[in-house]
Amino acid sequence: MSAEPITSSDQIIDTARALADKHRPFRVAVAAAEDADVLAAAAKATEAGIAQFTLYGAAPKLKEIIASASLDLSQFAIVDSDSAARSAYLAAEAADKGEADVIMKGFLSTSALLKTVLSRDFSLRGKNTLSHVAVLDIPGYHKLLGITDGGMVVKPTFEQKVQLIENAITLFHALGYEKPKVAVSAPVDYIHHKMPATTEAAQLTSMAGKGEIAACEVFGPLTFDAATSRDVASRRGIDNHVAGDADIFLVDSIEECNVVSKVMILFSPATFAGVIVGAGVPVSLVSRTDTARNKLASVSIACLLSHHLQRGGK
Amino acid sequence: MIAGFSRIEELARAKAVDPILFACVEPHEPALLETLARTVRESLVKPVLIGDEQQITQAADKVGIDIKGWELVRSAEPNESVYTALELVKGNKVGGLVKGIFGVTDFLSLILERNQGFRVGKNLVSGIMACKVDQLDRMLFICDPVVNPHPRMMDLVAILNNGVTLTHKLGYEQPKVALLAAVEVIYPQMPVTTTEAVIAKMADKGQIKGCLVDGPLSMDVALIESAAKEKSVRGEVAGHADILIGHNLAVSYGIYKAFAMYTKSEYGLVTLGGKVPAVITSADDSAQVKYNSLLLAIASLK
Repeated sequence: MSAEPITSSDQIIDTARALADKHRPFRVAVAAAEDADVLAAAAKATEAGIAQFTLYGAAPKLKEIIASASLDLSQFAIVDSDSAARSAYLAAEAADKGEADVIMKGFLSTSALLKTVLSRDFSLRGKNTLSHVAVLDIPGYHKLLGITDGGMVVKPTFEQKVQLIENAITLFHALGYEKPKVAVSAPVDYIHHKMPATTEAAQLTSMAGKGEIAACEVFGPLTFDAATSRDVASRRGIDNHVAGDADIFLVDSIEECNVVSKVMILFSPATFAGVIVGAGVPVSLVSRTDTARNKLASVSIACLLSHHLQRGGK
Repeated sequence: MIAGFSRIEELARAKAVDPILFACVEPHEPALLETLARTVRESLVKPVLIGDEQQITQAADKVGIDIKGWELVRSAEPNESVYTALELVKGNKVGGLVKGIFGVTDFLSLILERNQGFRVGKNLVSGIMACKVDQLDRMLFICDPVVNPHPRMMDLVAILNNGVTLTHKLGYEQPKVALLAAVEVIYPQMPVTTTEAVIAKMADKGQIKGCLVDGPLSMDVALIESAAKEKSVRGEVAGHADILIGHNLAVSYGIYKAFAMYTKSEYGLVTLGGKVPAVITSADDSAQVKYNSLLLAIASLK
């Protein structure tokens, strides 16, 4: 791992490639791989020298999709399986045995895949709930911004917010950050007893201050503008060095996270790398509407996280 | 559908046959005074400044603006300035309200008190951001990034109606309204999606008029035609939304700031549902944003 923290989406991709060069390409198990978009993303990551993919799915169907997309069949290993459930099981088993570094979601629901990954047949369960972190490279923001959770936890409880922070800082540790700065979102920048997001943000700040959430700095409540602009923060008299310089923005609902990050992905436009954190192995998922670049960045960040976890990283 | 602020400016000029009186609370903010000076020159606005004379004069001097000839009502302290402005609203003396240097939350709690002149019965007051982002050929109206922290279902309907009212004033016949969520389908475990589905159904049944409503819709599906196609979301709203409804303040405020800070967008903000339109911007909004906001307020008048 590079000594300096990673600060751009280019570096996420380049660092994953450099690690693959140094050791070996990351091994990705694709569960229910019968999906043209996922296969195209897999081919790109293979071509980039970052990863090698094992496809779990119905072999005839896989070959048909690969042929019609004019992809090179020989770059993939195929394990024939007769159902999506079976494919998910085999992919999780490969990860559990240490034969795969990353699990990638194909043509099955996220919940079905994660249920299999977390099943008691394997030892891939962590102590935390699983959560999704999107790392955005936003033109106009002076650093990367991790934003969570726009994909998994609908309305985090206080307990889950602690775990969402822990999961996000694990990912940022994998990106080389020693003490990531976590801003906790609320509709206003002060504590208001009728707005639970503000009181919870204050509690999280206090817990981190006492060391109960380790290896990070947490501050809130902060609105999105005060979290990402020093000028705004200082004009409002917020004297804290997380404010305006956040590495991670923890939001109060899946809607807020998803909608706000999409404004930047669509119109800044920001590059993003997303991954599911909290299991013993990173779970990568790409959406049909993601650009090729975002898909490659997502595969890459999952690889960086697996590298970190395999070295005992937290 | 309108393409940008130049059209809103035309509409505002047509409304301001005589300059519109605006009660300006604690206006000792240089960017605001610059904006007011511009609207005075253009005969759009006649400001009534309410606050500390010395503070106001100093701020005006700082940006080289001569406020001689502008009406000024002296007030000893900020809350008194708000109450003075509310008296003017109550007595039909002004056509609009402008917030200067005054905390948003405190300002709102004062003007939203019942029977103070601004509230009309139980009508809900909500904010609208009108935004022209570079990549789209139409304007977007984001509701409500200003007032209501945790709106319930019928509050959301009122927020939607305030947005529709504004777009009707701007010449839209049937604006397309997207109720935003993280997904495009209805999941019982995501209560936002079920609430939004009910609101969309209310519109189908004619309980919400003058617009087309769909939801839940994700941001990309609401705005981008190709995303709506790829995700097989049908209907007239998907890919073509004019009005975006966030289900709470955190969502809408986040959208507002994401557009304002990290995209190339021209925008303004107006707060409707009270007796007169209110311009409630923050110190971080530029003079141009405040100008656009005044245009919106004027264009929203009867």
